[in-house]
Amino acid sequence: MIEIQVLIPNYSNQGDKFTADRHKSFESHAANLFGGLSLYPNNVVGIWIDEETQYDDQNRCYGFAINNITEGNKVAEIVEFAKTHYEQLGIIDIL
Amino acid sequence: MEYKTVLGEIIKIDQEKVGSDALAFLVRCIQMAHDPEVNENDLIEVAYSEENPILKPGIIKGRGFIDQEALDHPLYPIFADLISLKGKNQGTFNSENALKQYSLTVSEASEFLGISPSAIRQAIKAHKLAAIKKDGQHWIIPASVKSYKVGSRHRKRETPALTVCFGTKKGSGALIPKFVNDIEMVTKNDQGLKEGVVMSFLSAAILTNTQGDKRFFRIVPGPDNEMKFNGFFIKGKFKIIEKINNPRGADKAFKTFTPA
Repeated sequence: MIEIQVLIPNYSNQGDKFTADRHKSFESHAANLFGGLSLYPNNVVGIWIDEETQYDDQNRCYGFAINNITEGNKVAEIVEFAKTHYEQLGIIDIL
Repeated sequence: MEYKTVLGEIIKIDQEKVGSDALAFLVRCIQMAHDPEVNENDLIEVAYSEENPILKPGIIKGRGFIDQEALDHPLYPIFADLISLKGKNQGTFNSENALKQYSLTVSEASEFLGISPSAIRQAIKAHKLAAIKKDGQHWIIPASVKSYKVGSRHRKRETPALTVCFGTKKGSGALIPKFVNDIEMVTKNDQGLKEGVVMSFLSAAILTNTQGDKRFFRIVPGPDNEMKFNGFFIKGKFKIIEKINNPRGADKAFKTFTPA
């Protein structure tokens, strides 16, 4: 079993905190793909640099599991989903 | 027993159905949400732990497992809302700004995705679309609709939402559209004007210009419609929801408009 962590931003590009519904839709999609997921207690603070602009990020960290690396397409799917769902240029996933 | 969310929705709690353990745990988390000594991480640590009776033990030690059963539990939206409540109490969550994110009706989402309004309502019920109910009507976050299309493999629209004849022509003025995606299959028609299709959109802007007389139109998905202007046109499923006739206001609205 391989644990995957995905960092989901707490704030939109406009600086508004994402609502509980927005996270719930993401959780529902992830639960469909992986059977379920967990939310870590520590918000992750990071920096995102795009074309010389620095964005300070605060992220919530979700963890879920895949059975083996052949399920990597599911990870790619949830990352693509999250990019559209949270209107982000990129989403970080950690194996 | 009722719980009012930070966005003003009322969640009714059937005490017998949810059970005393889950209720006692909820009360503990509500107290934490109001306790200024407790921060958001502290609240997440407890509310999303395996201590929470509505979450099973997960693959990650100590953390609760959010599966479909948990998401369907009547108390789950309250636990999720408590994180927003903590943010509100700490000044990091603005309910007014949050409410502005919910701007699409069921029929607009239905039009965009090419599925029936009842399928949209089902998706809301199944937590697939981020929505709130206000004054008896659902309001949906546009990005949630877009990601639903990406993630759910519903049938795609086979016919374009709009056919657009656009651009600038000497003596005719101009029709400049602003869509989130490029206009596809652009060709020149027999009048020498550019013509193309838009497969789907949620919100777009049109600026028309005749010798400096500029007009701004904001369009969203709607019934069959047609808008003609000096040989330019927009045909398809749309409705105009905003119109600005004064040139300066029209120009400014177009420049600052963000399509979806």
